[in-house]
Amino acid sequence: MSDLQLIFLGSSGLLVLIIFCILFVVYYKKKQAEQKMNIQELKAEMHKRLLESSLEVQEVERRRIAKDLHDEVGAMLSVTKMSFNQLLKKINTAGELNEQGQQTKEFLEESISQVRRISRELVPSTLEDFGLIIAIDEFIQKIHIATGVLFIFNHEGIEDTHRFDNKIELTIYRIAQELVNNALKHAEAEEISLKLSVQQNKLIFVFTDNGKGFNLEAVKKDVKSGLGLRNIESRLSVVNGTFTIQSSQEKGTNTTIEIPLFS
Amino acid sequence: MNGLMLFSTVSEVSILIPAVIILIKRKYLTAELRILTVYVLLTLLRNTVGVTSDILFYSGLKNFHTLFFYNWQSVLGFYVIAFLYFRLLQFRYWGLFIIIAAGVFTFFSILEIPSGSLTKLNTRSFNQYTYTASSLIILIIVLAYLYQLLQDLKVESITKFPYFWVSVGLLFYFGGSLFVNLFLAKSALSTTQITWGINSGLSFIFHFTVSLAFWYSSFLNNTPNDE
Repeated sequence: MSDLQLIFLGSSGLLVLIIFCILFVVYYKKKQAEQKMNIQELKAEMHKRLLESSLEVQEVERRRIAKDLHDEVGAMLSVTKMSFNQLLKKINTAGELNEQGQQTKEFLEESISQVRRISRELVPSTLEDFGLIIAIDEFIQKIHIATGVLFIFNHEGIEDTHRFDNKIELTIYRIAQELVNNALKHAEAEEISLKLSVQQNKLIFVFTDNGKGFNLEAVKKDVKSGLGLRNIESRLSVVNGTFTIQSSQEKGTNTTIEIPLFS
Repeated sequence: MNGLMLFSTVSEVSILIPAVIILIKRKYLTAELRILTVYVLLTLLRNTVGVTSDILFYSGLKNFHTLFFYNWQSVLGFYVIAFLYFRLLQFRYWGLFIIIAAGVFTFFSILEIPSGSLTKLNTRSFNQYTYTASSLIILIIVLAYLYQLLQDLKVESITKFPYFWVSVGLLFYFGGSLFVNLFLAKSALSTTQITWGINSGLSFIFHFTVSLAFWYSSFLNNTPNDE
């Protein structure tokens, strides 16, 4: 082998080593980036699962409280009322006692009715039995009767009896409850519009009120008042949903929610 | 002194660069980098003898052969590097491989004894079997370590990871040495000069990468492995 050939061979070897080292670093960084991405995805998935199970636990607990209220407290109050009626029959001779007895009876009736209401609100049985459209309809009707606030509910293209995934139905229902509550309690709205539609395999829920509106950035920063927003965000993350809020002082609030539908 | 000899002397003196960095970064040296420090000290000792010999030769005072020191450095250096990777490689079968390889290497070293390369101070014999065996074994170990790095992916920044640079340096140095020993063993005069040139170049590269390894020693605190 001549000197020139040896030099060529040696240089080639050196070049191979240099290329090997460069490729090693490039490949290492590529694999590292892939690993980081996988870890991030796993973390996000774990976070989602945690939220999902926490919401499930919340629903189970609501169900248990509702059952306890209805079956135990409610039943006990009914028995008390019956017993009191018997007592009232015996004391109807004394005028003052009778009046006080009637008042106590009204308190008892009011308590029974409150327990039933709380029990129904804790578990949206209409949602489970008849679906999202009827449940929202029932819910806004009750609020309208109680407060006089005007509701417009538009669900064009979606049948009353149409059923979505349980998780999606519960998410929309709970968010609607949260938004209605906010609109009445904080925004003092007089008119609320709810629009539900399906577009490009997405469930779109648009909630608009004519209330006072609020400063979105300030609410986001405030730990206490931002809780509702975070609650909405958490619920949506479980169903891969997103939401946008547009609000300004005295101009009402518009919330748009998008949830992908996997049929 | 011709250009090649000057280059050779400069490459030998370049061992002072990692030596100085070791002194600067001595607080950050891990157990493994301390083992590497032993290797640097062995090389420093060998090169000191080599450079002193060059100076004495060119000033016409004395001419003595330094191959004895080079041969011993290669033998001891192998054990130091093997021990370093014995600690760095986490898969236990690689530990076993290193122990067996060290045994094989010792056998090759014993084979060199009759030639006097390890026993005579003024020897002119180059322990070629030992060099070839150590180059092959170290190349395998280093590649195994690089593979381990790829599997673990624990190092945040690979280009600031000392053992990566040590491995790169060893890959160049022993890869080059293997090439020299396999292809340039039976050499003509011109080839011998090429051999010297390549060796000097490889030493220079190795000293540079080892310097980088010691320079980045402080980054080891940020990496969760190999300590």
